[in-house]
Amino acid sequence: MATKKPKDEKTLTGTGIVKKVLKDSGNTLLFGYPGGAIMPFFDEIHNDPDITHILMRHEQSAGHAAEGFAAASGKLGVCMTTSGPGATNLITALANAYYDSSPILAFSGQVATHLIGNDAFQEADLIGATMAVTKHNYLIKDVKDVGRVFKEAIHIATTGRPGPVFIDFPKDIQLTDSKQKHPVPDRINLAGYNPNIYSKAASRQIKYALDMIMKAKYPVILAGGGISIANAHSELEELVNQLKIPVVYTLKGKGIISDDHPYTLGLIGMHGRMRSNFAVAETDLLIAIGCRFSDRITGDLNQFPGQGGAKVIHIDVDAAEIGKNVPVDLPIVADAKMALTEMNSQLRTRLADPKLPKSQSWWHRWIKDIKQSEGIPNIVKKGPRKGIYPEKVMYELNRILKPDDVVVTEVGQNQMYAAHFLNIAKPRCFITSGGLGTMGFGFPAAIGAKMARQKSEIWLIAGDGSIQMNSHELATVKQHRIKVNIVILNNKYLGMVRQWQELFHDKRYAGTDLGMENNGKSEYWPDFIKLAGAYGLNGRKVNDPKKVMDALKESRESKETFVVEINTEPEANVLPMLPPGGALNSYYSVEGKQESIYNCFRRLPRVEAEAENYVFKVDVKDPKKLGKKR
Amino acid sequence: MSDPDKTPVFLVALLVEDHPGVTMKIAGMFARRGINLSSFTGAASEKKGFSRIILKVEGDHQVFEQIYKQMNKLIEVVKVKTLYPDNSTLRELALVKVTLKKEYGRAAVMSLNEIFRNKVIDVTRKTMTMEVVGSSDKIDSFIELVGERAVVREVARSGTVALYRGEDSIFLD
Repeated sequence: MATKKPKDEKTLTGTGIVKKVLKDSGNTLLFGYPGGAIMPFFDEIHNDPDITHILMRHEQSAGHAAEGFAAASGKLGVCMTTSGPGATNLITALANAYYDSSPILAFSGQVATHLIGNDAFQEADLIGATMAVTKHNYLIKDVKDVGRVFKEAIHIATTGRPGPVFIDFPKDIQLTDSKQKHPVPDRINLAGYNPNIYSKAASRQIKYALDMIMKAKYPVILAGGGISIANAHSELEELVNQLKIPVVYTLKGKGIISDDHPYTLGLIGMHGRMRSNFAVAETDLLIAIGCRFSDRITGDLNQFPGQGGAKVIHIDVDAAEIGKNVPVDLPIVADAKMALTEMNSQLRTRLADPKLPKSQSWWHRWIKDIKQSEGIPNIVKKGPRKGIYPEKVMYELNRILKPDDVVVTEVGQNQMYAAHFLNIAKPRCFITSGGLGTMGFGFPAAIGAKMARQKSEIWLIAGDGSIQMNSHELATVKQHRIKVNIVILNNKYLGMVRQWQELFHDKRYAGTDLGMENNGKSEYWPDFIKLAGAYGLNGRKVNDPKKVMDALKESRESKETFVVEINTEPEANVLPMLPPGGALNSYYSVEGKQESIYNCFRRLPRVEAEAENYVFKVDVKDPKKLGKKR
Repeated sequence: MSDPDKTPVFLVALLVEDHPGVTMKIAGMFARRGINLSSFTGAASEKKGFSRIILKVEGDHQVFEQIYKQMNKLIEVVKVKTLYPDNSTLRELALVKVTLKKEYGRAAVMSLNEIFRNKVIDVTRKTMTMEVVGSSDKIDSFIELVGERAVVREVARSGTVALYRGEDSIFLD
C-alpha cells in the first residue's frame, strides 16, 4: 500500500509530520522492524537520503540498539515497530531504558482508530502495557495532534531525568493528510511538566553541603549514572581534585571518572571492590550524586552507609529518588552538572581561605595505601593452574583497550567481571544494563553504540547464555557492515545463577547447565565460531590462556564483526561478593572465603582513624610508619 | 475519634489534565508501589480540560512523601497538594439502604436520621434509603449505629472530597 500523497504539496500526512519532526530535531538514525501497521511510515522514509534505518532482527533489539546509541552519544535513541507483537516485543527494551533513565523515543503502529478495542488482528493495548515502563506514553487519535505529540515526546524523553516515551500511532492517522500548513507547533506547552533543573534553593543547599563536607572526617563521593546523563564528568573530576576525597561509583557510574584517577576506589555494591565497600562502610558522610541507592548498591539498608551512622547528601534531578531508599540529611534536587558547577565555584572561594584547617590528610594516605594493597589477585596476573579464568581475560583486555574504545556488556558474570576489573578511562565508554539486568541487551546495544561512535572499537563482553538471547543480530551487523568485537566468555553455564546455586542452594545446578554429558564426553551447543560462520563472519576459539591476547588482537584488526569464543573455567565465581541483602560482615573474599570485610582488611595496613587528633596508625611494629600528629 | 492503632490517612488533591487513561496512570502508580488507596474521587473541575481528583491514602510519612513526589512526576498531573482536616473542608456522601426490623420499626431509624441530619430519599414498606453527608467518621458511626436498629443492606459512598479552607485554593495560574 503506497502512502497517499496529499494533493496540496504544502500539507503533510501523519507519517510526513513525524519525518519532519525527526529531521528538524536531528534524530535521523532509526532502529526498527516493519510490519502491517507501520508500513506507511517505512514507505515515507524509504530511499530518503537523510534518514538511516538499521533493520534489526527482533523488535527488542531495536529498542536496545536505540538505548546503546543513546548511551554512547548522549542523544535521543529512536526505534519503531509494528503493532501487536511488534510493540509487545519492545516492552523489555522500554523497561530497560526506564530503569536506566535513557532517552528513547519509541513508536509503534497501531490498528486503525475505528478498529481499536475490537480485538483486531495484531492489536494490543500498548498504552496499558507500557504505562509502568515508560516516562510517558501517548495514543494519537487525530492527525492534528501528531506534530505536537512527537515534539512533546522528544522533549519529555530528553529533559529532566530522561526516560523512554512511547507513542501508539494508528495506521489510518499515519495515512491521513493533516491539511495543516503548520502541523508542528512552535512551542511546547506542558502545564504538568517542569523538569527540575536548578533553583536558588539548590544553591543554598550546596552551601550547607560544603559546610558538611568541610566538617566531615571521612567523606566519600558516590557517583552514579546521573552524572553521565548530565555530562558532568569534568565537573566531578574538578570537585574530586579540589576536595581530594575518594570516589566510588555505581555500575552505571563506571567511566564517569577514570579508574586510573588517584582518588577513584572503584565499583561498590554486591560485586564491588572491597576497598570501595569498606570506604562506604567507614565513611561519616556520603555524597551521593545522580544515583538511586538500588539494593545491589546498599545491601542491608540498616547498615548503609557508614554502618548506619553516616550522614548522607543526595543530589538528584528526580525529587522522588531522594529519601526513597536511604534517609537523606541534605537533599539537593538539581541537575548534576549545574549542582557540581555551583559546588566547584563555591569551593574555590572557600579553599582560597588560608585559615582553612588542613584536615583529612590521613584519609588520603589511607586511600593510597588501600589502593596499593588491594591489587589485582594473583590468579589474574599469573594465570590459573589450568584453564582460563575470566579475570585473566579482563587483564588482557585492559592491555588492548584504548581510551576511546567502548565496552558493552551483557548481563551476568561477564558484566560483573567487566565492571570490577576493566579500566575505563572516559565517560560513555561503558554501556551496560543496570537496573533491569536484561540478558540479551549487550549485543544490540553494541550495534547502537557503534552507530554513535563510528571511529571507536566496540567490545562486547558476553556470556554464552546472554549472547544466545539476541545472537540473531549477527545478521544485522553483517548486512549493515557494523563492526563489533564480540568476546564470549563461555563457561557452558548460566554462570551467575550457577554461582548463586553454588553459594546458596547447595550446588544444585537446576536449569543452569547449557551443555550435556554424553558417554563421559561433554557436549555443548552452539559452536559460536560456526554460528558466526553461518552469518558469513569469522571468529577464533581460545582454549589456552596464552592465546587470549592473540585472539583479541585478531579481532581488533578484523574489518568486520569478529567472534572470540573463550572457553573459561566452568565453575569460576565472580568474587568478591556481598550476599544479597547482607552486610559487610558476610563478605565472600577473592579467595571465596566467607568472612567479615573487616577481617579481609586486617591483611592490609590497619587503619585506626582517631578523628580527634588525626592520627594515622598502621598496625605494624615499626613506629616510624605512624602518622604524625597534627 | 482517632485510634492510635489505625494506619494514618492523608488526603491528596490533584489537578490533572483530562486525558483518557489519566485515572489509570494514577491508580496504576499506587498498585505498582504497593500503596493502599482507600478512596479515589474525581470529576471535572472548574476549568475546561482539567479534572480534580481527591485521593485518600493510608500510610506513614514516608509513604506520603513518595506519593507526593511520584504524583508530581506524572506528566498529566498539574498540581499536587496535601489536605489536612485543620486546613480544609472535607465532605463525603453516602447512600445507605436499610431493611427495617420489626422490633424497632421506622421510628428508631428516623430518630437517628434526625441526630445525623440525614435526608430520607426513598422509602418502601420494608426499606429506607438515606443520604448521609459529612466526614468519613460521621458516616462510619451512622452505619454502625443504624445497624443496631435495622439491617444495613447496601452502602454506596462517594469517597472524600475536599477544598482548602479560607482563601487558599488549588488552581492553575
